[in-house]
Amino acid sequence: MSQPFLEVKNLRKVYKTKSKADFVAVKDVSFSLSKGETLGIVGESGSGKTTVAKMIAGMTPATSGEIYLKEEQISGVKRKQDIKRNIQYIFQDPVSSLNPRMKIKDILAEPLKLYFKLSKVEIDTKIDELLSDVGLPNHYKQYYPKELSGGQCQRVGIARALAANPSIIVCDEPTSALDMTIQSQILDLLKELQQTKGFSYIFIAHGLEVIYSISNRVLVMRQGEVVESGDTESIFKHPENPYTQALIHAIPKIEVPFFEIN
Amino acid sequence: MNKRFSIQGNWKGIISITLLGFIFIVTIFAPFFSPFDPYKQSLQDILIPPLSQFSSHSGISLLGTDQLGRDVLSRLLYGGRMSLWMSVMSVVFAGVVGSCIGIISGYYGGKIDALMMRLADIQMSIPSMLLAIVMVAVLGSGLVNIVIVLSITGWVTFARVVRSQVLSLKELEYVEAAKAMGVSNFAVMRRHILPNTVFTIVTQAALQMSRMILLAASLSFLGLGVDVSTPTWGGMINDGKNYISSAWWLSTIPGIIIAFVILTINLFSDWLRDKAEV
Repeated sequence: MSQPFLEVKNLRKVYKTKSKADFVAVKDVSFSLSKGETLGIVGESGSGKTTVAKMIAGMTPATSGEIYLKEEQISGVKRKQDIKRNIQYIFQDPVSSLNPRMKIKDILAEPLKLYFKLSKVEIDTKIDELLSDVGLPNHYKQYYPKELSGGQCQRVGIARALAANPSIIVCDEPTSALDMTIQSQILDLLKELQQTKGFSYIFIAHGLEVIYSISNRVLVMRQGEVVESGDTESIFKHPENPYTQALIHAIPKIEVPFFEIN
Repeated sequence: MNKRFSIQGNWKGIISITLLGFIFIVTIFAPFFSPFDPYKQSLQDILIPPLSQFSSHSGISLLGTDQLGRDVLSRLLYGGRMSLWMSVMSVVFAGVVGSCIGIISGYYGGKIDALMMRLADIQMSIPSMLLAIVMVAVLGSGLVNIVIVLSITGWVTFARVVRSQVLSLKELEYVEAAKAMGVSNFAVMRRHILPNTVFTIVTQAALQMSRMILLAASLSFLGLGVDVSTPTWGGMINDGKNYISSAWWLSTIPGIIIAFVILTINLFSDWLRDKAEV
């Protein structure tokens, strides 16, 4: 394994409640991620996986713990624009993550204008490039998000993340709002992009079936704690924690019905 | 994009826009349309009823004359110019200020929000008519002051409505995405929040418009409006009220016109709201 690119140490998130005791959403989560690697985080709803993702992306401040990006502490401090650029986020709901009043080209131009000094022409060519990277036809840049399907919107969401030219992309259940066939297309697209551009992914999912095809390593979370972690293969072959075993059993198995032909 | 414009679904819009267009053109270009000089007094033609002949000169007074022999129709057109202009200006000011306050307090929340909303609460607890009367008494009458007074009574509604929408908008993922990207707060508000509240603001503006016309008319009726000799709809009703038993047209006609314009604007805002829901 190459040297860690992103390192998370004892990350903790506590939500204060008025009536009851404070709610600990994430308890001392630690892991590391190297360049070009995909780390899958699995767990049921409320296991704290999205909170971990949002803390890494800087959307939610961590209560305690450290996050290092290339040995620079980025948790609890005001992040520099370059660090924000380096960690991008893909949302679960592709439709609501795109501003309905902005054309696709304006959505994609936003990170380009924000992070890079580019001329109008350069932005235009970059947008065309991004659209072809995610497999959308060029003329889609004139459309509004509501004119696109869910899968196409998610491709735009991916293109927006690509536009920043990040080193880490946090994918928060990017396929769970999509049809089965579209899901596999999006997963294939993400894998292909990783090969050509060398991103590291943190891939959040609620079930193991999505994780299996894309992750190198898996972190299984339950009630804010990491219950098991390891290589994808060993997790699938020798799950130790009963919760992990339950998750593996929960993967729907396809049984092709047997039709008797006379 | 290529939605076909159907007459059936948009009759409210077609009727109200046509009527409003007509009203605005006729009043804005009042000098072209008004048959006589609205300030010209004539002792021979005092209180002649609608559709009667002038005795001082040839010509028919369509809507009669007032106690000074001035042509009511001409005064109505000039008065409409003043009344509509006042309400449009005050809706614009109230809308801009109110929406800005609404967006800022909804977006930032916390202390700014609490301060602004308590301020709005305080103002809402005072009847707007009373507030307007007090403010005119302090500031003095005159066109600019009336516009200021009307704007001050109007911003609260805008701020409240916009704020409540911003509260739900700022939780949406595209706003979160922009913030995480490092887009500045100002740009988030301008690019992601404002465009999504525009429809609400416009609908609210149309509703407020009719309220402003009424308030402006009430102020002129109370003699707190612009200069007495300048025709305004409310002022005309006020002038005519002493003659209501002998010359019904003096107060009735401007009253009907105010009601008609307000109904038309309400129809228009109703249509806008229907559109927003689609």
